[in-house]
Amino acid sequence: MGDRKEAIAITMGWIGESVDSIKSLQIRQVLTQAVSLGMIVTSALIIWKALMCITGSESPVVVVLSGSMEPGFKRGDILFLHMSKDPIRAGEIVVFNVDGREIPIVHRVIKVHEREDTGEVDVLTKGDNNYGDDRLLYAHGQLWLQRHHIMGRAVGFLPYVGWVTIIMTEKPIIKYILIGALGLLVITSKD
Amino acid sequence: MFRSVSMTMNISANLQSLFTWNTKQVFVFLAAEYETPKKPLNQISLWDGIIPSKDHAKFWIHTSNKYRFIDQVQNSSRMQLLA
Repeated sequence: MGDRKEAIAITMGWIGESVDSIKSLQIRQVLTQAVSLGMIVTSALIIWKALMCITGSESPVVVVLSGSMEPGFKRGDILFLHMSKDPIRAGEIVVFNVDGREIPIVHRVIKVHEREDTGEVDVLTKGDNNYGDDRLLYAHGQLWLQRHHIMGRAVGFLPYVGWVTIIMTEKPIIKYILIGALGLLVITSKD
Repeated sequence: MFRSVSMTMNISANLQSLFTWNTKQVFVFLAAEYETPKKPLNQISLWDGIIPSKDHAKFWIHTSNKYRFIDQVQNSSRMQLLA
């Protein structure tokens, strides 16, 4: 009777240990995966913020959404921007925000007027492929851009890469499928 | 009320040396730059064009100014006129 009791106790102990081990493993795996996902998201944010610091621009990278600057820039190109204190001059390609519009516009400067008293600058822009200047794009009643509207200059570009962003914006279902697929990939990966 | 300058231009240039292996296009423009008592710097583009390749980089054209050459008036005056 004593031996049997002892044997039963040993067996139960072993089972208990196994269950604890399995539980512990699952918890650790889930935590590891969560941390990995967090690392990826955080890395992306860090890279973006670093780019903002390096380029001095709120939008260091933009995707071209329209054909207003063809043949130089086509829809789906990516532009790299840089902002500095240098004066704005005719012929430069600048990125600007219009009050009331959320998407920045990348066009070329065709007129510049600098004021002596305030140092303020008035700028008129135009898309290379457009017939007329940009006054129709500016806020109602606005005839000129000032320094604070301008977010940077275009300093480089990559063709075609921006199509991913355009497609995801125009077809949200594709965006969710892609994010889901990436999520699954991360979760199912083995170290 | 406003004076606008109209011009006829003969433009000839050979820009073939600008086309390296890495050149996408050359944007050419002609701008007027001048001073007024209140504005020490003014730049007004008069004409521009895009040269897509080296084959087109040696050219001669006869044209009028593409953009109006008109000095800037104060915004308030302009808006009053528009209103």
